[in-house]
Amino acid sequence: MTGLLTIRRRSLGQLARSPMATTAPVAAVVGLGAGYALVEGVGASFGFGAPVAGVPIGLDAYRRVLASPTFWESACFSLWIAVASTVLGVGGGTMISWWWVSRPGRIRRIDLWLVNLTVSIPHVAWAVALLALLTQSGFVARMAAAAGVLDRPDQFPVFFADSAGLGIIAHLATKELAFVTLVTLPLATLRARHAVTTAETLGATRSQRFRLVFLPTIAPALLPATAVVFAFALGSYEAPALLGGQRPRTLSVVALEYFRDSDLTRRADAFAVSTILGVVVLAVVGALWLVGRSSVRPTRRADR
Amino acid sequence: MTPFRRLATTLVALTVVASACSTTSDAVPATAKAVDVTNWSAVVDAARGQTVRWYAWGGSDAINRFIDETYGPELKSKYDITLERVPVADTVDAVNQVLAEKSANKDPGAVDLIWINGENFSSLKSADMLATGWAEKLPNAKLVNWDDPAVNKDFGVPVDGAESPWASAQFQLVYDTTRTPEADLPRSYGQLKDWACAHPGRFTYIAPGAGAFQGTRFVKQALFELSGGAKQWTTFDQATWEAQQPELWSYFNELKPCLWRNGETYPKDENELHQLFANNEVDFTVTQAIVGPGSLIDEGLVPKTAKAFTFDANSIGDYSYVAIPSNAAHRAAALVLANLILEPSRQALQIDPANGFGLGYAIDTSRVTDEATREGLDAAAEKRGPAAAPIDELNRSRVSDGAVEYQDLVESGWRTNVLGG
Repeated sequence: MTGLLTIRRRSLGQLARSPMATTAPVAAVVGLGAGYALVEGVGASFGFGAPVAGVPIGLDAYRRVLASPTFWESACFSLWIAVASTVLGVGGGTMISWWWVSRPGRIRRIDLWLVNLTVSIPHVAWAVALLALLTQSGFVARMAAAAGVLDRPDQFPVFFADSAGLGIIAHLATKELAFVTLVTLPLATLRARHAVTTAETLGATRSQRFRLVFLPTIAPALLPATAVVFAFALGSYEAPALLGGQRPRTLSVVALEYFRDSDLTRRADAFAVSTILGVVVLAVVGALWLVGRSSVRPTRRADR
Repeated sequence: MTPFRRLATTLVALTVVASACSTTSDAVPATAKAVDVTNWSAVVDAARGQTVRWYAWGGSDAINRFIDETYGPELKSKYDITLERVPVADTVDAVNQVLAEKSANKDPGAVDLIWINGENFSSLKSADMLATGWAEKLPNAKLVNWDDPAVNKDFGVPVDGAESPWASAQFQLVYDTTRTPEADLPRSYGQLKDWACAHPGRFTYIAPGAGAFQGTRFVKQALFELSGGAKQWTTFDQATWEAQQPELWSYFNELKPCLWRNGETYPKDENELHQLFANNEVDFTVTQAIVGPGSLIDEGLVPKTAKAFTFDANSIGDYSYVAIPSNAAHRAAALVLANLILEPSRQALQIDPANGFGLGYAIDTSRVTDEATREGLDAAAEKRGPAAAPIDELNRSRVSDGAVEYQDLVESGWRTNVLGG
């Protein structure tokens, strides 16, 4: 009897402190809004609640979308942008963390402030700033033309509205880099710094310290960060809409275009594209979670 | 962020979202909506004390000011109606508001009047969310030439009294008089191709597509010219389209290598094209305003030396309208405003570029019986300013838009055959 009570008390205490319980309030608030939208959106992709009569319930929207070459072109483009910007962002963020860890002394206020600033600037503002600086009509081009470096501002190299999406990738990578730095920072400074220094005194080379000590230590933060960054890049709208060209366009841009089409039957297509995007994100996050489960756990145990 | 701050931020964000959703107008008894437009004095009585929420594209400060100053004080003093202009980034946002209200069964809704035309009108009409049968019964509707297909059809869709005209517009090109001598201006699509290829990279047009009707219109006008005129396109015929479209796409594909950035990409809206023009990257932009680029010059968007011109033929002219959603809370006030818009005194104000609007008349001035008023309207039309295209040039080249079915065919066809080709 006493034993049972003790167990129950302990498990309640544990439950209250478990990640599940601490995130529950946030999850509930966000979940209500997002969950409702999700149900509505997925329903609309199957033709429920269409604003005009004559939209059949079923898989018509998916059939139309999957048969359209635009969809596949946009899917490839979206994936390319998401993968490229995630690799650059996660790689860059990891390198900054590593640089902070391997450098003697504390992190300077100004460095931290710069990273925080980059994270907190809204995406729209960041994209517009990039445009204002780096297009043919941009500040740099006009200055270069005024200074005689270029004959005309339109000779400035093309970074935006290009078919490779370089401007979009640059935008997302720079924002994500700061995010990844910030997310990995606590583990990097609280645990990795000590471990790296220890490894160094034990004679580990720089590359060994990075691969065998630093990366596994920050992995519990790095893997979820990668998932978040990828999911965001795949679905992000502002940067591709502002910095992208007419062709190819990302799935998010195509989805909104379908949604705003004057032919109201196309709304189902918009939700079908969004649902497909959501499924891809879930699949990738699931895969990363599996990777994390197999690679992070042993390290934790070793740490203990 | 700590969990607490994250929670707080989320809550703040949700509150903002929620408050944006709940901009419902005060509930109105159902009887107030059942207004009989033929009994005008009853409409005016019912409208007294109401606030009319007018959803209008808010992208131009000059136009916003024009709306507030031209209609607001008049509504208040004459009819005791308060004008609340609700700016939207794109008219489709107002459409989505009404459609969302429909799916939520929200009646009365937040929108009383929408500045609308073309695709947005077509989508709200297809969703059965517009009040119909009122526009031709307004007292001032007798000043409108409802027999003109450019008035009684909007992008080829029958108006059915579901929207009342506000202003006329016409597709024109804009050039810079200091860069291009008037004698060198292309006056047809044929000449335009020669001009563009003689000046590589100095011309582009807006990519046709949703939200960029100017681009669609530009391509449609080429179709009119290549097929020998606009007439045959006013009714839809798939076979005519199939027969003519290859020639259209080959025209644009021949033009492509001569375009800005070799036609790899295109500006996505009017503002982007204005910017390229202002930055001296291309030599032409477009306008729909009867006064030409006058208000664009005032806003500093294009050089002061910009001026409008048209090709010799096939320049699409049309009207923009105001419509009342079927769930409008203040239908009577919306009707009074729609009628006020057609008042000759207000029409004369809208054409003067100094007032910031610069679109043409929705009324047919020959129907105005009072001689002094008619002369005033004609005099106002003369004052369109130095940036305007000559009025006879506009009249000579004006044609009606094609049937609505061609809109999508042109847009998707262009995407497949020109952009992707």
